[in-house]
This record gives sequence, C-alpha cells and structure tokens, in this order.
Amino acid sequence: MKEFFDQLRDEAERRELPSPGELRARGDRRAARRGAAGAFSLAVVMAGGFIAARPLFQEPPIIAHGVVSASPATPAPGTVAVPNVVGLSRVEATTVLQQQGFKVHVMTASPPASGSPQAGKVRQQDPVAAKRIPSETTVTIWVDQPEEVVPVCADKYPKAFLKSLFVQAEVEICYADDDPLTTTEALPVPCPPTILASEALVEDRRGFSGTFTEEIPNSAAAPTMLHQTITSYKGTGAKDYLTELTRDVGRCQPFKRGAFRLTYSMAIQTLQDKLGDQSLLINVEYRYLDKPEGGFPQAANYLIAVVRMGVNVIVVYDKGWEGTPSKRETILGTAREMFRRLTASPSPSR
Amino acid sequence: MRNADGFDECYRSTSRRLLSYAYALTGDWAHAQDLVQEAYLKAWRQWSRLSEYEDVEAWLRLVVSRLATDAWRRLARWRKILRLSHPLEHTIDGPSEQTVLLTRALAALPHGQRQAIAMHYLMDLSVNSIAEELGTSPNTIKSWLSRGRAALATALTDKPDSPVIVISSLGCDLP
Repeated sequence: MKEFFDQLRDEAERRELPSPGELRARGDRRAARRGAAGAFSLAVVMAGGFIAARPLFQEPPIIAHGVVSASPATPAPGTVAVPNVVGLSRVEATTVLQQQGFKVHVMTASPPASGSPQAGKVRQQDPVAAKRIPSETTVTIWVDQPEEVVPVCADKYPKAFLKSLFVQAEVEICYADDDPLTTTEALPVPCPPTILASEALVEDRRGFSGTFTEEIPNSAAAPTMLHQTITSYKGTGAKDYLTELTRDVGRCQPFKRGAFRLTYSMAIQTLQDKLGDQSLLINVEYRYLDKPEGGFPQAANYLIAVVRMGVNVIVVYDKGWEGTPSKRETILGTAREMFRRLTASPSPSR
Repeated sequence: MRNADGFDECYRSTSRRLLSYAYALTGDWAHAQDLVQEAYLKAWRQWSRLSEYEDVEAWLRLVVSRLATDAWRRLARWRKILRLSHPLEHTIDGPSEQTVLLTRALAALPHGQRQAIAMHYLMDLSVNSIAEELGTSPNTIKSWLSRGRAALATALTDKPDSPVIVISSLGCDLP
C-alpha cells in the first residue's frame, strides 16, 4: 500500500505551486486590497453569507498575474532566440513560445483598458525578443486585459462607518444580495420574509466578516469566523429594532433556508456585563435537512450578540468554522471591542 | 516584522507534503493546490505570531483539513473566481492509475479514517500525534488506521501492510 502513497507524493512534487515569494506577494497584495477604501469590484459569496467582497483573488491594478506553465514540447539543447510575441493574443503567444521550448508565465498588465484594441494582446515580454536563452527558461508575457464587468453590491447604505471600528475586518458584507443559494445571514432574521418596521429607519449600515484564531486546549489554534455589523438608525429605530427582534425570536417557527432549518431562540446565557444601553444574546440553530456533507455535524448552534448604543446597533453573528461554533468569549469579546471602539470614536461615521 | 526567510523555508519544507495531504482529503489536485495556497496565505498574514509556534505545519494542516470540508465557504465559487483572474492551463499529466485507485479508495473511507490514514502515510505522523490533532484517543486512531488500511488494501487488492511506522513530523524550522 505504501507504494500507492509514495506515488501520490511523487505526483505532489510535480504539481505546480507558486514560489514562496510569489505567495507572500499575493498575500501582501490581498491585504493591501482589503485595506484599501473604495468600491466593490468583485462579488464573492462566501460562507453562504450575503457578502460582496473586494476581489480577494483578483490581482491589483498594477500587476495581476495568472500562471501558465508548460513543459517544453521539444527540449532543445543550447540556447534559443526568444521570438517576438508582442501584439499577439495570449493563446498565440503561449503557443509560439511553447513551440520554441520555453515555459510561459502570463501576467495581466494594467491599467486595464476596456474596449482597447490592445485588450487581450501581449503588451510586453521578458526576456525581450531575439535574446538567446536556454530553451526551458520561463518567458514572462504581460497581457492587456479588458476590465472585467464585475458585480457591484447593490445595497444603498452610505457605509460611512470607519473600517477601524470593526475587529478583524476582512471581507465587506453586502446587505442587498438575495442570492437564493445563500444559506446564512449577517443579521438575525427570525421571521423571514418579514421585514422589520425598524428597517425603514436605518440610516447607515456597514459590516465585515473576519476570520479569528482561537486557542484550542491541547491542540493547535483553530480559525473561526464572525460577521460584524454596525447599523445607525433615525429616531427610535435602534430601540425598535431590539424590540422587534425580541418579539420575533419568540414568535416565529423554524424555517428552511437553503440546506438548513434555522431555529432562532433567546440564548439561555446573557451578556454578563452590561454593555451599551440594551443588549440581546440570540441563539440560532442551523440544522441540515439532509445528511451533512464532509463530516459536518447535523446541527450546530451559533450565538448572535446584539448591542445597542444610542442610535447605533452592533451585531456580531457567529459563523463558526465547519459547523463548529466560535467560542462564546470570541463572540462577546468582539462585541465588547466594537462597542469600545464605537464609544471611543468621536465621530464613528465620518 | 514578519520573517520572510522563515516563511519561505517553512513553505519549501512543508508545502509538498501538505499538498499530498490536501489531495488525499479532496481527491482533486486543483482543489488541493487551492487549499494549500490559501493555507499559506493565511499563514503569511499571521506569520509574526505563527513563527513562534513549535509546529507551524500542524496549524497549516488544520487549516487545510478545515478548508477541505468547508462547504460553507463555497470553494467551488472561489475557484471559479480564481480561474477568472488566474487562468490556469493544466499541462501536467493526469494522475496515475495507482493514484486514481488510491483516490477512489480514500474517498470511500469515513472522513476520520481518511484523515488519519493521510496523516500517517503522507505526513508521517505518529498515532499519538494524530490522536492529539484530531482530538481523540490513540486507541481510536489505531482502530481507524487498522480499518482504513484494511479497506484500502481490499480496494487496492493489496494486503494490509506492516504496523504503523512512527516518523516524527519535520515541522517547520523556525528561528
């Protein structure tokens, strides 16, 4: 049997992985992109949540790269003159270079020029044409790409709350997406499709999902995810929201959502320390309607902390990880920290 | 300040093993490659803290394990998006017949057994280490390995091989 696994290991050695430097650079670009203010440009629905994310995997404007590697068709000894592929399409250029025995590394050049006649054509190559290099050397080409038309979050909130008010703010949440495939939410909805009356008084709303690391006794640290939302209301909206939530959590029956049956209830535990003007701790059970996939538990319970501070309401909705809920302290600690930041911020929304 | 050299060294010394492990869990090279890259991206983001860990590979393995069964993250969508911006041309030959057989056999195992087998054969972890990592007893792991090996042996028309050989994890050499 061991030889089967040895074979698998051998195949793993041949599979393509980026260099550590490329990976670090990608990670840094992702971090920079996440940190950048601006409009959404690519929708990523993660965790079944209503999320439209900044392009996690789309490279930034300066250099976006995809990798195309090819083994040389006919390895030639010695050196070969690099053909000129500038102006060719990506496919043509790749074919020409591979025919000469070169490996090809494709970068997406920027700025993207939508509608540009050069879109999709090789703008630049390295090494330059006519230079003689060993045949198996990698030739990098930069291809002008038309700007992709990407989904934009359709919610109309000004999103003026500062990102720094959120803890571990990674992927911005879009509250307008009603993708029927989504199965979880960023805000508690105990009585769908009822729209709470307080929604009419919402002035602004912003939220992020974030991956947290929890220490597990006798084990390595484990990741987990929380959705964090801050909403500001006009008039009595914030107070009304908590009143409506309290009413609906006890009123409505479990309901089907995607592959799950959701049951909302008030958590037995309460927030130990007084937080804000008013606070709630809600429990929601996600129960698979069918046999869960991939070793997930049949049902899991997640906590939702709701804290009102004047006209603002903080909601921390636990998403857990693979059916394992986050630790209570992670959820409540995040709510406390968001409350602290909101309290400390002289102008949280500007 | 994150130590890039330490990260690079860790990546070089562990990524291939982690890739084979991810493949054993998913049965799909492209998926496995995605998972491994995602795990290291997460690691790099937290490297200043992770580099203090005695065994970073265990953390990476945990992330890969979780991502591998992460239906809620909708990796299919993620990969679709990834392909939009990173058009990959698969020019490497498909898996060998042996690997296809092994993949099928692994897929038929219960998740725990599959994970334990992969950790043992591909990550060279001892029974105790696997038990600790999976949060169960060594006897359970022995049972899983035994059953898993028997099932694989049947599927691969092979005989269960020798008892567990304990090779300590290489881990990541950290400064």
